[in-house]
Amino acid sequence: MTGMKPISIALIGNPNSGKTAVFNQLTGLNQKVSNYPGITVEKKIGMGTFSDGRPFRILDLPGTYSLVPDSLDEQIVSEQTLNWSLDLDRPDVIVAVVDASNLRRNLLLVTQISDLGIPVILALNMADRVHHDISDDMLTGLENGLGLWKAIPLVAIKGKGFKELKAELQSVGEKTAVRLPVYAGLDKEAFHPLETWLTSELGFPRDWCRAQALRLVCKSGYSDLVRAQLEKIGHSAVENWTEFMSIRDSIRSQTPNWRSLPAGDAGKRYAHIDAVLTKIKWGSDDPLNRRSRSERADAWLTHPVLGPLIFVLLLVFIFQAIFSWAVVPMDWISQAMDWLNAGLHRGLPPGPLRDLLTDGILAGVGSIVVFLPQILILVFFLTLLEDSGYMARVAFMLDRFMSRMGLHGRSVLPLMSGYACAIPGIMATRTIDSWKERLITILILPLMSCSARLPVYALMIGAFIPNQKIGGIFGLQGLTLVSMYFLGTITALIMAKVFSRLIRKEKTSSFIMEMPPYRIPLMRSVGNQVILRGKLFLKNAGKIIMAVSIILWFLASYPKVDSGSGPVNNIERSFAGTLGHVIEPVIRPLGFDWKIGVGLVTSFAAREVLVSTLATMYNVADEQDDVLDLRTALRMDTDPATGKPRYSVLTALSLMVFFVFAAQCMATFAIVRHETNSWKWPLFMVTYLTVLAYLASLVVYQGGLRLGWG
Amino acid sequence: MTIIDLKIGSLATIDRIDGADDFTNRLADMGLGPQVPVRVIRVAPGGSPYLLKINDFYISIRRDDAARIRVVSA
Repeated sequence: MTGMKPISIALIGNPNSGKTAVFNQLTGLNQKVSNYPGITVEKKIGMGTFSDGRPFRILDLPGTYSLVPDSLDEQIVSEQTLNWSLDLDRPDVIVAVVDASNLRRNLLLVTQISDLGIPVILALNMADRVHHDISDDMLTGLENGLGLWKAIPLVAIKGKGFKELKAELQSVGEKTAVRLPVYAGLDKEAFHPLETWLTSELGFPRDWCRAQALRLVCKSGYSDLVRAQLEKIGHSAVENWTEFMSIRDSIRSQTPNWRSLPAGDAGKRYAHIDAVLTKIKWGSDDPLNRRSRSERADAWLTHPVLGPLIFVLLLVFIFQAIFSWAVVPMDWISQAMDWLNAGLHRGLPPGPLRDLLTDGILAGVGSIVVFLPQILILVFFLTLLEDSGYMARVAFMLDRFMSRMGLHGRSVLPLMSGYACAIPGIMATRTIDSWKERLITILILPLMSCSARLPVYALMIGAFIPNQKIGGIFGLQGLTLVSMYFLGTITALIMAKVFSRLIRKEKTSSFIMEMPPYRIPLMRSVGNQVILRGKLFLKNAGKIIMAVSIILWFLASYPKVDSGSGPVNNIERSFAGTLGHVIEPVIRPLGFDWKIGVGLVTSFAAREVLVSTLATMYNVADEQDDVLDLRTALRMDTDPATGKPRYSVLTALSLMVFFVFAAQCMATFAIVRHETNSWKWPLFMVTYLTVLAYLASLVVYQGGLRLGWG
Repeated sequence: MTIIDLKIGSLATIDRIDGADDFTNRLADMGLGPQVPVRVIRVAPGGSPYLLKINDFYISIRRDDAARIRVVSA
């Protein structure tokens, strides 16, 4: 039955209404995630087929409490609904997903979307959590009271009710009748001229205009959005926009309290909802006097002492998983890369093409792909924490501390993920509503010592820090490692404080966060999330990594010198080597020579590339090829001019401190570019981190020399 | 009297919400407005944020914002 026009379905609902679970149940893995143009809110579209062979297409809109545009998510939903009323991508049916155990609040949005004149199916999700039976009379009462096409109880995580929902979705496409909204919004006489203007200029039905008029008068941002949209589609109403502005301004001058009208409108809508719910005797028990299961669990999980303790234990467990379990698949990937590399070496004749494929692309891409297992494990746990509702508790417990640092309670988990890898951390900042706090979290995230620094720390500590015990308990090597983590974390918090003073707030944001009930996560949703994030990582990071890898390979391999002069000379005379020599004067005050300079250049691809670059330079020279020998090689390397060792403990410390701060990771750069949708912020991030790295290393090395540690 | 004057666990009724319109409109969207009963469930370590229960759901709100919600004891 291909070739049939798919039934177009839009999914709308409050945050925490289980909308994602409904979406996943309807579409499975057959979904596409992209960003809305210009911003970083995800646009999810799913495809499927009904039992009769008709295809369908579902747009999953971001979770929102209201169509009055305050937050980014609400703006998206407002823009979409506006498009629909202009007959752009108008869906055949809207599925409004509501949490049936929290019906009153969830229905506000439903009254707003019923204004649209598109058939609405109410999906009463989590029907098993309602404390009374849901009778047919109740459903009919909801349908009539709210002007719905149909109300259907669902239990999305158990897959219950989907047969009915699908049947209804199939039949709704065949009918055209539309119910009029039962309550179309605040009826103010002052607004009538605008309603008339909208009806004649845009051809909106009168009932839809009433709600639109309110938003257009009370939200300047919304009228800008409407204008932009009309301009984009070349609508003739734009030409009369001055007319609109003068009508709006005259309404504003006649209505002194116009700014607070949305609250009044919401109040009226709630009064209507209350009347409907009372009539059908929905939720007649007394919720405020009944302690829910979640509330009882929270007595422990957000307890002033136990709460943080449980959180720390969970973190320890997650990091244990990331650093020990991930090792196995990481080894597989390394081995696969080696195998591919060897295969290419055998299969291709020596020459630039083989070098490009092996030393350039394979080495570069491999150095990033090897982190995929860690990222997937991390995303798995983060999704689990988010979907179970625990993340909101962490935000609640730590918001006080985080807000003093200019951050948000929701910054905690992204920052913690940064210890494994900045990339899933940066992606996880999407749960922070306030743009300013989200941006600060992104900017400081690279300061959390990620696992790519470990090989560098391990090399330097192993080579130069004596294996001694201090006070008979703590190993000096271990203490050095821990202090690198501390240095990064403390600096991150200080920088957050600095940025919160510097970055202007766009508008006063308040921390109003719903505390969702604890839920058992739907494994299918968690699995989807892990797969989607993995794909995004490979796709977004992959593009830039490929390009930079090729450039770096070229710089390190050309110009070619005559054979016989030895590989170390080869790299020394390459562009990268020349670059190393060029920057040597700049990095000499930090205790680095041209070889480390080359490493700094190549490690912009990824931090651990420093190790392989140094290894290449030494191992090709000395025909040794493992890290243990690299350590010795670094210790033994002498300056031919003075006969003294080139590197010292101080060089090692300086280099490690440099790596704590420096922004050497093109994948992070790519993700920040993607998530902030600008070049400004990733460039700013790299600049401030580089300056910080330079200054810190300078202080360490020069200070150390003055103290006579050289 | 505002939310922060209430004892943990006590029940009150919202009288008025002060503050910027964005703030009051947002709370109104979530169903917080005059005559709505509210219970103070818990305060996070350090005295902020507050956890409130309205109808069947919970919201957390920073101390400064909680001080803008005027209430009368129920």
